[in-house]
Amino acid sequence: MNEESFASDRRLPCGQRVGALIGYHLDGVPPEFEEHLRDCPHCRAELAEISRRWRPVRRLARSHAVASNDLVDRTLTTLRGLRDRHGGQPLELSQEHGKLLIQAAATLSLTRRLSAEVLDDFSGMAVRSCLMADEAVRVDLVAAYPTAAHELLAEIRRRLVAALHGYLGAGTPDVSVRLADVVPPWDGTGEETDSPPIG
Amino acid sequence: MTDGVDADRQLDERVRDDSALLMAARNGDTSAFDSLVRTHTGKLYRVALRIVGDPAEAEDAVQDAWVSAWRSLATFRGDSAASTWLYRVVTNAALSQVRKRRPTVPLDPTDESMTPVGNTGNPEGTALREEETRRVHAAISRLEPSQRLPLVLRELEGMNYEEVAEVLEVNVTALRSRLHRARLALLAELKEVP
Repeated sequence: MNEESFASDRRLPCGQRVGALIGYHLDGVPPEFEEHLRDCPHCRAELAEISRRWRPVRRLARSHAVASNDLVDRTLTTLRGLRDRHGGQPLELSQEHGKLLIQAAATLSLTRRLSAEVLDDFSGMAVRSCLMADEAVRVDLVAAYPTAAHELLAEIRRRLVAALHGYLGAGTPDVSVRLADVVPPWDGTGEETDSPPIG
Repeated sequence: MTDGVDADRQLDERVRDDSALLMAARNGDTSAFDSLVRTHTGKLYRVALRIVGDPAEAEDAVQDAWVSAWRSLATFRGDSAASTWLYRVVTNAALSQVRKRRPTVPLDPTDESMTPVGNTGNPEGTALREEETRRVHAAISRLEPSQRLPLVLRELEGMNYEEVAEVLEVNVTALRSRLHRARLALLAELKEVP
């Protein structure tokens, strides 16, 4: 069996098309084919292989996918920031030569992109989220153990503010950078990795 | 049988509740919207994770989805179920996340946010399942978005054809065609998954 064998229009010796068997396996067998599928060795062998290959998908469908504990809180904080501070209206930022209007979502998107660029120089750290909180843009980071993340936060913030200033000038909003989580190293060896996993 | 009827009734009530909350939010009730966030963030995260294949990107997609939903409340007219509307918003946000992808965090096979069912405490078995989960996610992430979305909604979320078609705003015939191609492609990708 190989991937070419899953060509939809391939016919088994009994005349059944493989594409139809896949549909029967995943959507149910029409009553008129039940007897044939029960008795035909070609169909049974093909269905067994389809079932074997599809088993991991079924297991994934039953698996749990749990977000970070604070995802709801972060989302609500972001939403409240949008409603209360800006009401969906653009941020009005003071510039050397006047005012700059920028959507809050654009500020967050820019901050997230620049944060990722800054972290290119800091092995073992990654951006978890950017959100509006407490009159500032808050950047949450995750670090792979044993990165000395706390010692790096001030420098990361300095570089991020400088990068934002390049786009927003004097209107750059207040920025806070914090370590949200520490996770095991990627390869399990205790060595630093370039891209830590998120816990 | 009674259990099934009760379950159906509870589901109907839940659908009506969610739609009522969305309509209330549309009329300015922020607490109604916050209630939806608390109730549905977990489900939206699961969908996003299965589309983007990465926990951090999935969380970003969920946050973007809620912001987008808030801004788009005026477009919710109650013609479709609230859950359908929210699925549509999060699939769009997840797709957008995929398109602007900048790899900052890889898919993590040890991530506890993707815990396989049937964890028996056997470390070797758990590791194998985690590896399997990672490989299936990776295989799904290689599908074209037009195939990936229907596959996630139908095969992983368990939605029926009509529901998926409504979320993706395609007709059922087109959906069946896309899903069939997605299944073929995934079966080919999964030939080496034990």
